[in-house]
Amino acid sequence: MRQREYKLSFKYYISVWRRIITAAEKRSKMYRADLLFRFLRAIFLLGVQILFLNAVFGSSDIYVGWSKSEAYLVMGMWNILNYLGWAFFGSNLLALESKIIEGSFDYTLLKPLSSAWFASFGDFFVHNFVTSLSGVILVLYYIFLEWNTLILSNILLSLLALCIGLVIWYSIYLSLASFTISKPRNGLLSVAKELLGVTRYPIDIFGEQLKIIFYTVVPIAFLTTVPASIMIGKITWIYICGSILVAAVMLFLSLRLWKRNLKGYTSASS
Amino acid sequence: MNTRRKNRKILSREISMYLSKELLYKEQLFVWIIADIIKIVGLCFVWIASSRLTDSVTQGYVVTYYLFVMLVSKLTTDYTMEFGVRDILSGRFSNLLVKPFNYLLEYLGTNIGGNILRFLLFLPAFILGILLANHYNLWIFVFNPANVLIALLAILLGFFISFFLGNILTLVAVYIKEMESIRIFYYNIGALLSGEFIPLIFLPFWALFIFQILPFRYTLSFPVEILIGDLNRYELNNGFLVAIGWLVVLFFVYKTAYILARRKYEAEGI
Repeated sequence: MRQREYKLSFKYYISVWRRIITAAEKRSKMYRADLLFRFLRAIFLLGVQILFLNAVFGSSDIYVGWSKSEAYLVMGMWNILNYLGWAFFGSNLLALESKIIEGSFDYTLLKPLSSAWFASFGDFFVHNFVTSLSGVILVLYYIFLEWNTLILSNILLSLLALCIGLVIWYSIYLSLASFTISKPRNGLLSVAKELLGVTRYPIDIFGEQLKIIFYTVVPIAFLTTVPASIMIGKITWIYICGSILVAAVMLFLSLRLWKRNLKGYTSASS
Repeated sequence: MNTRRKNRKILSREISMYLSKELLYKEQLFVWIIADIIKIVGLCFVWIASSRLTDSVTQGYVVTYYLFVMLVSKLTTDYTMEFGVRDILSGRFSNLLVKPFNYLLEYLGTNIGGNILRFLLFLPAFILGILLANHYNLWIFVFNPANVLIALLAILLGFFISFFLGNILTLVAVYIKEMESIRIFYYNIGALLSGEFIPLIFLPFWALFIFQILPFRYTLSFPVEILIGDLNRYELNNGFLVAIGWLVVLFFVYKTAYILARRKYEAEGI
């Protein structure tokens, strides 16, 4: 299906997105009990993750070259990336399948916006945003513990690397979600979910050969391990350049894939 | 036709209906196998690296435990909360109530169908896992027909415990409309307390006691412990006693919850 021309003005998208955020915020106030449960869940998850890491470390202080506090940092980065991903685009792209099957994706195509953008950011999920606080707490805990040895520029570069990681994750998720348009119920998003699950731990646990794959073919090492390593000071800013390059290529490819799959879309709501 | 025979027939129809629906999307089934493989490989690597640090647990035990946990979870998982809550909120629950048979039969059929399908789909990943583990001398399972038979009984008990837990919580949707957070929270707690996140062997004594008296352990870890041959006769008897006790309690809790929910249910169809 040929899409209507859409406005490319950045300002226009920002104003639409602000309205989306406002609507989401109002909706979240309707279900206060739900928000409370989400908050409790965030605390619970934090406890589980700390318990899990303690079990993995056992009586040892070092795990595949990472100390316990460094492993908390990776886990924290993962929580931020995972839950922000769900808050901004994950839930929207997951709902794409039902929209396509029911036929309501036609309305997305008729909007004067980029279909990839609207399908990804058409709604905002406040509760996932709240849950990402569990990650912030873990990262702050690491910063608090290692304050004397940390370098401010590394912290800032690490946050930048995390943002780039979010773009890479978005690109991977969008690429896999785009196949839903031409072939609904393909299950590819479950692969994406498992791939993200792998990045909960330092990539070093997978050995040298898989590590190479995770830095090149499936660049999930850039999601959490690279930002954490930059903050710790294990790797230099050169990796940021690598991250930006990977993010640019991945985003470009995912948008191409989206457009290609859009051509195969047939409005089959029946 | 007597009631028992009629119910059996309805149940088998429900199972075959579910399977026929799911088998329509063959690509999805293939992708689920890949997702399972990624999950297995990831978890194995985490715990292999961990067991290198500690002398208390062998690498083989952890890998075998996780392979079995994933296999057993395919048989004992309950999906009622995923569709049951939707039924209540959309008002479709009314259709189920006016049918000339108990609505639980329909839910049971869907769950058994789902578990059979996921179990069969998981087999390739499981076999691959065994081959890999065997290659690195990490597969410690010794086939004992008696253990396998007892474990099958424990799996059956575990499935019904899980089924009643899921159905009790589903009925909460009659009172609380926004159930998504409660559902996810319940899954998280279930995963932790059933031994899916952390093998019981890694837990301190006080935590072990809590795990043993709650019902979640009997939905997953207990059958796995039997399969591996971890339990002596005393622990086995105690385990079955607690599991059967929970099943009886949950059955009566469900009955009460159902009577209360039916009084409150308004079929508003949100």
